Amino acid sequence: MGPRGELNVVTARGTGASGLATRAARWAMVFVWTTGIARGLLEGVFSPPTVLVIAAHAAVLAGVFLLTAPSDRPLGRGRAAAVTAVALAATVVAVVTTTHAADVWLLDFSTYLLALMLARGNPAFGLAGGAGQVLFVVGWGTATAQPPSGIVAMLAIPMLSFVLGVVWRVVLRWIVARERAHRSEQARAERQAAAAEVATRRFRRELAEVRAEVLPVLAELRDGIPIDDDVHARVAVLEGTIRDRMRAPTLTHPLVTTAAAVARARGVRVALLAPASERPVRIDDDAAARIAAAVRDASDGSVVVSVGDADPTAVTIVTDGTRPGRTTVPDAVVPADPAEPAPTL
Amino acid sequence: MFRGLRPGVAHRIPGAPRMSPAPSRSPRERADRRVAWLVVLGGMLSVVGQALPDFLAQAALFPVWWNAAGLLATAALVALAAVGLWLPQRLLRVLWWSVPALVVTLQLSSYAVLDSGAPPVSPWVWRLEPAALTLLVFVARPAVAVGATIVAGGTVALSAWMFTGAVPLIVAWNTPFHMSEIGFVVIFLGIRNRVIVLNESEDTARRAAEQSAVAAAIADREAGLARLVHDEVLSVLNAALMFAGPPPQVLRDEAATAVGVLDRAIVERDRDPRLVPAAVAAEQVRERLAASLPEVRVEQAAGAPVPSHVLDAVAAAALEAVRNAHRHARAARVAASVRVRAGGIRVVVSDDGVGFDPRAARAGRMGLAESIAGRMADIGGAAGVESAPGEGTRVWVAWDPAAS
Repeated sequence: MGPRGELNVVTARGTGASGLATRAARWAMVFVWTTGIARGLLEGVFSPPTVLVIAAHAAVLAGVFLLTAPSDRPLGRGRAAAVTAVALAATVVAVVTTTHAADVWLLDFSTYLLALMLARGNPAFGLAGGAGQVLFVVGWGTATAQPPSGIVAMLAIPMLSFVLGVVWRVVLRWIVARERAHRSEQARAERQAAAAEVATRRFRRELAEVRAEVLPVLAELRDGIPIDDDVHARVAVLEGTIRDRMRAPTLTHPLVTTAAAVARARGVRVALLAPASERPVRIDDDAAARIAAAVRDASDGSVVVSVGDADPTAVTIVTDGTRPGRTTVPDAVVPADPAEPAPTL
Repeated sequence: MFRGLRPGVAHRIPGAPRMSPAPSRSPRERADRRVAWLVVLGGMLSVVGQALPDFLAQAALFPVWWNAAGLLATAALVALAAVGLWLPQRLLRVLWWSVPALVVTLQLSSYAVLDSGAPPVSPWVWRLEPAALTLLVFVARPAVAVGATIVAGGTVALSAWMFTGAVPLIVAWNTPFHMSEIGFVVIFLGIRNRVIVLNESEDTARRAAEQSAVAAAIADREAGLARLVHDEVLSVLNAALMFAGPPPQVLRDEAATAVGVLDRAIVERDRDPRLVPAAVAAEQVRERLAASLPEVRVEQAAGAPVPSHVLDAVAAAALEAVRNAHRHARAARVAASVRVRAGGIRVVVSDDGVGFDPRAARAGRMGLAESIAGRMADIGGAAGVESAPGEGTRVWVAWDPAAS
């Protein structure tokens, strides 16, 4: 299928085949057909009834069922050809059974079928059928010496219908194209540029916060301040906190971070471990409180807090000091706001 | 610690730019506005091709006020076709109600005001009915819109019957034709519903694409931030933990470098497009490494210039290789060589230390995987490690403009 064919399909899918792929549209068209029959009865079209006229009216009804196929796609070639053939056959009957040129309902209705094929996504069949209609009417009018005003009256609604079909098709394509504009390469590039801007601003803000946190210690080292126990303790806490955030962004929560810092300051070895997550996740507040309490309770030795491999929503705390133990906090890891993934640092 | 970061909590970014001009109207409003515009645009064919010629022919048969009201309805349809895409939603809804109501009222009154001596006619206002009644699709329930269209199709016949006691043949002929306009109404109901679904799904896709783009950009930036902190901050803090008393000069220099790097990174612009001449590029890399390594040799510096951001990445990756050698290799000799040629650059850091089995190195180790290989991958470059236990280590980082 070429690009044009693809556009036809996209337009048809976006608009329910231009509104024709519904049962309601089918029965509404059938109702329109019945009003034509009523009008024909008033005009005496069926007096006396002839097989040719009845067959032509039945054929356009069949055309309605073909045209309103409940599929969000343009008609297949076979169906489109059948609708075109039905419309042209009805045109021939409508014209040859008329003695003088004037507005004829059967001709109008067969035009609707062709014009609606334009809207549905079968422009080639619709236009070819429409051209055939016009040529046939003009040829018949010339051959039978009909007055030009009669031919104009006969073709007025068909011509309006075809223009309407073209407008219908063009506007529906515009509507669908406008809604899908965000899929274009240009829109993608704009989106990536804007996202990069968001990321850069976030990067700078986070870096500024990291800088503010580490600058006092780095400045002391740069200035040659002697490294005593207090500096050692502060450096150890700072280093551990930064490393935790890099290794276990999922577990970074104010309560856990503070508890880990306090424990490290007491000399407890604290390690937070969590695998990288493909989707944004964070630690639940209640779970964070339980983890923080467990870390605070450790008075010596080490504490390892990890997100489970088997159950990525559970957090396990293992202590090996004077109070060794193992605690599991289920449902601790919960989805985070997808619009703003939690920072990895 | 990290008070401002609020660890683990979603970070809001005040004033963050919108990804792309997201639609300001709801999917339903957008669908109604555009499909209604299609209705009146098609209706213009009927107005120009049928209603106005009939008006010119019948103007004398109807009173001025009735014609004026009909022209007002016509003008409203023309206005909807001309500016319907931009009118306020509230005004649109008023017009979508009032135009069909006015047309039906005129049809109902047509035979009451028709000149008593005039022949029976199909009133010109009747030509406005297809477009006018289809507008009910956008303000009324579907059943009401369909029912109103059928009833409206019979209003001229009803008017003739009420005010003259009979229905003229021309009206009787045209009544089924006008009732058949429910075909339009039903088809446009279908179009409207499908376009609403389309708009909703495209809005969802647009939001997902925006979120995906932001997530990817943030992940990229955060990987860079993690590398920078690992290389520049953690390395100094780790070293500090190994000393007591006055810090040695090398540690003081590293701390000063870290402060400078953090300061520069904060004001960093997006990728620097500048090109650095080959000789300058080689010298800059040599200077960066020389702070930690006395033995740095420039083997070649010729050919096309090197992009500035490539130079930064290569130097940082090579510096991390030097640090790794100092930390882990227990080497007697560590050396580096720099080669700039044909717009590309290659740095090799080698030591005669204890070596290791690269296959056994833990996957995802920050220094090797991220600070060296990850950094090079980001710029389209490459990195490699050649080592074996007891045989020293050779780390190379390279960027080739043709390959990238």
